[in-house]
Amino acid sequence: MPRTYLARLLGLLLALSNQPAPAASTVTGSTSTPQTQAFISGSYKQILANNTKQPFLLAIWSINCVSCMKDMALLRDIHKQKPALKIILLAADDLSASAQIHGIFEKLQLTDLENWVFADDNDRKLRFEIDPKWYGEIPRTYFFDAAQQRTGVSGVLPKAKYDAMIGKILN
Amino acid sequence: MALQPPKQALAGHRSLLLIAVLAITACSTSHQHPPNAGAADYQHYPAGGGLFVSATFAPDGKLWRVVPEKQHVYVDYSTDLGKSFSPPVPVNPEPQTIKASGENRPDIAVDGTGRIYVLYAAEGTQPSAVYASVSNDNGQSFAPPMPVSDKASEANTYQGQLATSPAGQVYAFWHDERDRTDWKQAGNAIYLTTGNSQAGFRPIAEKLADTLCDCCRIASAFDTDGQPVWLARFIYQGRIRDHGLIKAHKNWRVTFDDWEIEACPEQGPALAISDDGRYHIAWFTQGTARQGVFYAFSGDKGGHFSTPLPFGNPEKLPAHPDVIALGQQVALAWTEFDGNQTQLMLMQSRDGGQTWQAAKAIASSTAETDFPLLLQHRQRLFVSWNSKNEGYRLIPVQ
Repeated sequence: MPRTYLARLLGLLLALSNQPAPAASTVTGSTSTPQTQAFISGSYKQILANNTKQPFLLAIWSINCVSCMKDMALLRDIHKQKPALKIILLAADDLSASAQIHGIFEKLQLTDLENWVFADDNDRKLRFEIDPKWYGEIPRTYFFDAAQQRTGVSGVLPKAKYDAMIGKILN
Repeated sequence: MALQPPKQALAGHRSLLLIAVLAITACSTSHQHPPNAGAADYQHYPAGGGLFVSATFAPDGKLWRVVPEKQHVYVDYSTDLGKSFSPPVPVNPEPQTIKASGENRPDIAVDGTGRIYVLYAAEGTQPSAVYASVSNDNGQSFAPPMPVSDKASEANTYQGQLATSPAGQVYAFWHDERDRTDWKQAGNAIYLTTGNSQAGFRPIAEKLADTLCDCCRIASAFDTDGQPVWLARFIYQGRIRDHGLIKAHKNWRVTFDDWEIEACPEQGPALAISDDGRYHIAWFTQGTARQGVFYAFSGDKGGHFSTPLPFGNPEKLPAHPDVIALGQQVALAWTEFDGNQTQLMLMQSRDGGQTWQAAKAIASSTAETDFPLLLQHRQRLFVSWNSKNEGYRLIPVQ
């Protein structure tokens, strides 16, 4: 997974959000913010079961991943343009990172999305349950159509490619 | 690189308690064998040890380890090929926020005089700094750790590594963000310094190369002329993450997989140079030209390489290969995962990488595992492998 450090992320977040830096790291507390759910063995099946008959995106990211921040900014734009399209965020971190996760959601205006965080010691098993072909590189985004046929892509894509893939799952 | 070892350390503590009980039970029922190498090695660690352990053989045959916990880094040694270890000696007396992951592990080296060097990443003035410490008393104590970078207060450093030349000179190198001006542009620089005769490292670091993939570990080896050579994942044309060699401040591309991705795989390459000067490389890619883990050799010091040889079972996520060469013997070690079990795989060549024996599984674990690291001591090769439940294993390459 791509990981880098906080100073870089803060710089990038500022660039992406065009807002002044917070005086201190913000944490969850907004009443509209969905609770971060613990992603454990079986959670992937649960997500599928909860989202039958509707297209959706599952976007896997990490608080320490610069490319993921660019990806999340694109997802924010997509969310604003297509609020009816469900986007689920899954942080490949751990529960101790919840405050940082919500700080990033608030900065990127993604607080209203369903979100999960890895909560098993063996990340590899969780990744395998999602996709036995995935080596763990992030950002990793899955595009599900209404029949739950999915396409997974790694890395940040140009916005036009996201739009094209979303167009496919909506048809 | 990663910011978070805590969950490994915490969970490891729980499992190690159980294993400690089992070990005591085993000892009470059998006195025929000393405590086996494994999780028992960490039972006397204050916080249960950590997953991302590095090891090296000293010229006298001692196996030295550096073991990270959440707030301290420890050094211990074994005189019985990893079956038992000495009491851990803390490197940093004051607690720090230690940063450790598979790619960003602490490192340890012993120079020609027996001086022991340690590098590790921890929070500093910047969110991450590579700290260095030295022991001049055979590991009984360590000097107060200092940032190895002369610009550590201004820029992040991480993934520090050590390499000892055949002449006994220790080199330290690391990812360094000092030259970054635009955070939207990917790519880091590698900086280098060397151990000096007074203990510690020379304070002035020199730049080796830039536009490296931000989060992939750098490999190193020494050429037959005694000079260091590095293999790293670069970012070519601003978007392609293939590999290049670095020697004498020149670098050139040697893999052409065309992996175009704006992300990072956290899978650095491996490099070995045999006595005859042949370069051996192993790497992971998901490029358009090929996908998986590959091996190649070069008989002209990296000018040209053999056709990439795929290895590993592509159905089992082969990953994190290491390579080592001893004369005509070349060994590859990597991990595979089937959804439940991680297997440590080994494959060998007896003719300098021309032909290979079948791959075989030599160890396994159902818990979280570290990357395998290949080590040499005199005319023997070993795999150094750590896992959460089974603990540390030093496995001879037969």
